[in-house]
Amino acid sequence: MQLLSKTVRSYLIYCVVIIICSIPTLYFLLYNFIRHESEEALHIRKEHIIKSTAKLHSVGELQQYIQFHEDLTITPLDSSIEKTDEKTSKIFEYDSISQENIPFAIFSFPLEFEHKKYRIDLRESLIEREELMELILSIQISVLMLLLAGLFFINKNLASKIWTPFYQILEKVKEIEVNRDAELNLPKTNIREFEDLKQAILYLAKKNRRVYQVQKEFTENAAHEMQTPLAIFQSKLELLMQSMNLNEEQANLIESLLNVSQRLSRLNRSLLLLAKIENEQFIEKEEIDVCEVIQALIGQFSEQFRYQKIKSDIHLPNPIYLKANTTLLEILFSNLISNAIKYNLEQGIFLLNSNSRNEIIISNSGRLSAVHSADMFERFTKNASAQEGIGLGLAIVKKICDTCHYQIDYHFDNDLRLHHFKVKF
Amino acid sequence: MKVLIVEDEKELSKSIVNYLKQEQFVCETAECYAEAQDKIICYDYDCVLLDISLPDGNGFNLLELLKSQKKNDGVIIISAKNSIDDKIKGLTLGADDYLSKPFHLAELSARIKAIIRRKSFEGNNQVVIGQLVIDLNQKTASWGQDLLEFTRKELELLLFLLSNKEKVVSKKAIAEHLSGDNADLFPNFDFIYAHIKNLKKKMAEAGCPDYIQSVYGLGYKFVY
Repeated sequence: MQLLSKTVRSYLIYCVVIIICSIPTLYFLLYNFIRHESEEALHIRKEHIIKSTAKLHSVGELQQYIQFHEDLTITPLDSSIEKTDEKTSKIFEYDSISQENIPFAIFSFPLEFEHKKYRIDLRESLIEREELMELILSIQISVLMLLLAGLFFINKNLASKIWTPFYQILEKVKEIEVNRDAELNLPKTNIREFEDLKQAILYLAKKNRRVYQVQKEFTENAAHEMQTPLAIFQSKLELLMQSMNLNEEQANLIESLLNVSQRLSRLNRSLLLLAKIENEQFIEKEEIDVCEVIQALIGQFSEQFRYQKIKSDIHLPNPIYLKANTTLLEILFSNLISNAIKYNLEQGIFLLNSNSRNEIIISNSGRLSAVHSADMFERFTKNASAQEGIGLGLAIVKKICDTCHYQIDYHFDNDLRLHHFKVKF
Repeated sequence: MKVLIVEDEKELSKSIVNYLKQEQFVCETAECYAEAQDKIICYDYDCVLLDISLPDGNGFNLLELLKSQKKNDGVIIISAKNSIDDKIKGLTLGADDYLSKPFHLAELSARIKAIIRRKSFEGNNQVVIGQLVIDLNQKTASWGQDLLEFTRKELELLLFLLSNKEKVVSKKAIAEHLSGDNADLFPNFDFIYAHIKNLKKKMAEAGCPDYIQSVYGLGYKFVY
C-alpha cells in the first residue's frame, strides 16, 4: 500500500468513527437540554399563572382568564378523591390544518381558587423544539461531511506535494550503480527529514562506491600478485624443459609440475572471474540472441565432440533475444557445455534444446547417477571421479545466473539416465 | 633482432631473456620506468615487451612515448591484469599484441616473431625452412612444388612449432595457442595428439622428413 493512501485511510476511518459516535451523543445531549429548558419555561409559566389568578376575584373571571389563554384548560377537582401533583405527559392531537397528529406536552398542576381545587393543564406544542433539534443535527452532519471531504482533499493534495521530494530521491536511489563514478544528483528539499535522508543516502552511496573501489583494486592487486609468481614458475619450467638430455623420469616430473601450474593458474583465473562477476564488472549490455551465442560456442567445442565421439543434438528453433552481457553469457554456456562434455561418456549423448518458455536445457549422459543438487553449485564441490576439475565451474554458472537474475535448475532423469541443466531467462 | 623487455619482475625477465637468446634474439632488459624510458629514446628495437604495472610508472605512458617518437618498434603488452579494458586501451594506443600473465614462453616467442615478420616483410609474409614454405597471407603450406593440404588448425600448429624450433613446446602451450581461453575447458590434451598425427601423416605423404618429435609425455619439438 502506498504511504499516502495509508495516512489518508487512517484519517478517513477516524472521521467516520467520530461522526457515527457524535450523532447520537449530540442528539441525546441536545434533546435533554431542550427538554430541561422547556420544563423550566413551563414552571415559570405556572408561577405566572398562579400569580395572575391570585389577583382575580371570581370564578367567572378565572373562566375568562382561562378562555383568554388558548393553551390552558381548567378542570375542577373533587378534592377528597383526586390528589393532584405536577406532572408532564405527552399527547398527540389531530391538527386539521397540517392534517397530521401533532405532539403536545401537557403540564398539569393544581390550583386553589376560592377554596376550591382545580387542575390546570398547560399545553405546549412539541413541534417547534423537535424541528429545532432536527435542524441542529442536520447542520452538524453537513459540517462534519464538509470537514471530512476537506480533510480528504487537503490531505491528498498536500501529502502528495510534501512527499514529492521523497519519491524523487527514491527514483534516484534506484538508479544508483556503485561502479559508476557519476555523482548522485538528489533534488533539493526544504523539509528537514528529507534533507537528512538525502544526506544519509549520499553518504551511503559514497561509502559504497569507496568499498567497491577498494574491492576492485584488491581484485586487481590479487591478480597481479598471484599471476606474476605463477608466470615465473611456468617460465622456469619451460626453460627446464629445454635442457638437453632429459631422461624420461625428469620429463615426467616436469609434466606433473606443468599440470600443477596449469591447475593453479586455472584456479586463480576462475577465482578472479568470480570476484569480477560478484563486483558486477560486466556491466555493458546489448541486445543479443542467446541461441546465436550458443551456436558459436558449439562450433568451438566441435573438436571435443568429435574426439569423445559424443552424439550431439542441438535444437534451437526460435531465437531468444535478451539484453545481456555477451561475455557473461559465453562464460555461462561454455561452462555448462564443457561440463556436459567433461563428465560425459565415450560415445555419450549431448542434447541442447530451447523451448517457448525462454528456457535452455542442456542434457548429457554421464558416469554418475544423480548428483546432490543443493551443493553442486557451491564452490569447491567436485566429485571424486573428476580429478581435473577445480570445482568452480558450476559456482561460476550459479554466480552468473544470480547476478543476471536467471534461474538454473538441475535434475537427473532416471529413465533416460540423463543429467539436465535448465537455464530460464 | 633486438628485443627490449620492460618487466619489473627480475626472475620473469631472466626467463624470457634465457628463452629468446636461444632463438638468436638480442635481448635487453629494463626493470623500471625510467630505465625503459631511456632505452626507448636512445635505441631502436624490433620488438618491445611492455609490462603495464611498473613500480615507478605506467606502461601505457611508455607506449605513448614510443608512438610519439614515431618509432617502428613492435609492442607486446604483458600484463597480469587480463582485463578487457586494459587490452582495448593498449591496442588503441598502438600496441601490436596483448598477453596476460602467466603466458607460455613458446607463445611469447611465436607472437614476437609474428610481429617482426609482419613489420619487415610486408606483402610477402612467408616462413621458409629448407623446402618447407608456409605462406601466411595465403594460409597455405608447400613442400617444394607440392601443396600440403593442411586444415587451418594444423597449419597454425605447424607454424607454432616452427616459431619455437629446436624447442620443446608443452602440450598445454599448444592447446592454448590453438584454442585460446577455451583450452581450459578441454578435459585433456588428446586432441593435440590427433592433430600432430595428421600433420605428420600429411607431411610424410608429401615426402617431407619427420621434423616433429615427441618428447616423452611433455610435448613436441620441431627439429630441423
